[in-house]
Amino acid sequence: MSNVVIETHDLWKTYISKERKGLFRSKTKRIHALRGVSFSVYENEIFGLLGPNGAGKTTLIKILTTLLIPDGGYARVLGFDVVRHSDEVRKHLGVMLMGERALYWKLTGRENLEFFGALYRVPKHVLRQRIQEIVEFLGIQDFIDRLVETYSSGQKVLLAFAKALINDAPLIFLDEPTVALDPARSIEIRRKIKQLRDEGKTIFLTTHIMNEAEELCDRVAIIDEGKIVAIGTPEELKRTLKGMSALEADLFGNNVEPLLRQIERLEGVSKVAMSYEASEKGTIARLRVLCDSPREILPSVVDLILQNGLRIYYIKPTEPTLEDVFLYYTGKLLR
Amino acid sequence: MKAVFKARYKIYVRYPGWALLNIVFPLFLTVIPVFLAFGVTGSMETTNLIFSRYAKTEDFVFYVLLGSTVWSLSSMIMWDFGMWLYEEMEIGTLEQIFLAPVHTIELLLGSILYTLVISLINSIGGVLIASALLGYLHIVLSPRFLLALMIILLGFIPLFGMSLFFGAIVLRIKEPWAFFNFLTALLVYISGVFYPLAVLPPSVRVIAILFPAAIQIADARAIMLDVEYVFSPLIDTLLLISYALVWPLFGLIMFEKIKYEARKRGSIGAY
Repeated sequence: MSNVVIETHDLWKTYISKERKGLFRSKTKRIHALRGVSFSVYENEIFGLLGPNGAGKTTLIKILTTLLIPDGGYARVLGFDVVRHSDEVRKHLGVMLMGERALYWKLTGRENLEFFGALYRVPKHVLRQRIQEIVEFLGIQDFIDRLVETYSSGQKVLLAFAKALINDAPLIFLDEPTVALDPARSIEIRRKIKQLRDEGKTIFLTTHIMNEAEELCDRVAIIDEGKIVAIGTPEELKRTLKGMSALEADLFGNNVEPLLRQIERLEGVSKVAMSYEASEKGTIARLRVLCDSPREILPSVVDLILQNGLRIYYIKPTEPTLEDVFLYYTGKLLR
Repeated sequence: MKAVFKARYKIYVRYPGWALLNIVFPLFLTVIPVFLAFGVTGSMETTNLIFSRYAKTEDFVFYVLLGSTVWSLSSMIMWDFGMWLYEEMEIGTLEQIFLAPVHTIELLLGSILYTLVISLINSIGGVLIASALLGYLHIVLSPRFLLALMIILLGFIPLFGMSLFFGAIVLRIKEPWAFFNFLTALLVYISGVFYPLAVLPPSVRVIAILFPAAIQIADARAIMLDVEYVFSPLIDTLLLISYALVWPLFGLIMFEKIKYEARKRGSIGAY
């Protein structure tokens, strides 16, 4: 077993927010963001954290990167406690938080990297060389000397990624690293992330793109409502589905909610979920059914769809993916 | 420290309008009371005569110019760290800065170095331009100017501490504008920017003396215009030195305390 790089034990975090009720009254609201999270990340692996919005991903990343103090439990990063030895932890982390707002728009990309490199106390001559290496590594030569305010969203994400590499840290946190990137750039970035792992770095990433998690991650944790509900390699997680498969369909039309309840009642169906995606033709309702035998329920599902006045764009049985694992454990889709 | 200075400086020079406005600001501040006085008394001669009863100088315009210049400089120093934190929160880079292994003192020093350089250039430039226009260049170019500058610089040390304290308030309340506006108005009132501290009620004068800028302004005038010190050159200097010992420590303790609370609440960078 490799060395443990991140170790958390029974982490708890509750946010207390005050909701104003008029000028003088306010109502206190408690939001339990983490409820006893325990897991480990090992050296030289790509570890993915999957979870819907509000599941606790950001809270967990903020605790591990020392921006937030937990209410209970502990977290150690590279052997250092994130609360008591936060300075030591910070020295050894490269962090890319959600891209665009993490940069100075009135500085060039290179000036941004110089600034953050100096904050990490990278010696000047090393910094110059490292910036050049990162620029070549990420292929961002074309725009590195332009003001960030002229960048596209994708270029800003790439620069934020470059920033996470500036201190040559052994552990890199990447929060949605391919968001806002075009498909070609996303593939390129995934290749770079693997390359970083092959060079000996440990990567902790969050993503909501299941293919990405499946392709990149050595291990994945699924977090929902502040709890880790599943953890393992993508293959191990798929095996927990116990032979179940999926049926997926893209539908057009309104009033899809009753359909979900009707499909849920079919025999052999474990979980049903719907996500929505805007398209040129209108909103597509993307249906996913986790069941024992998709081929057996296919005719009944088609009948139900048509009875509800919906149109089928396509429908097909598929092999289980991480998306189904996610659906199995959380009852939700991650899109 | 150098990194913060360089980044802030580069951003500043990419907004050339800022520099121009900062240079002319004390001049604008001077013009208001001068016109007001002219409107009330009907002539500058009468204004100077009446004014000399309290201020012991007949140079009303230069008196106000000096007050407004020192005030602009001091308020820039005092608010700077808080305003910088606010800007960082607004653009979203504050979390990134706090992710780096850099101490608050280094951030403060970088921020201060930038403000000190920029505000001194602006203020000296502004006072030279205004003095040339108003015919006071001979006073400004005298050796007394350097002595006044030393007193002003000494007064900056407690103001740096206050700056940390206001930075802590920005981290806590996020939208500091109402507080900022209230305090600015209050401090202008008690600092004697446009009048000598002697015109203030005795109880207000006691509060005013607790504020370093009030001593900076009074002493800069005393040196340049031979008017009265707050107490005496020695006592005023000792007061500023004692503030210089207390305020930075207080500011740092408060900032670290509120930063820790922000880390508990998860509100660092929240805007």
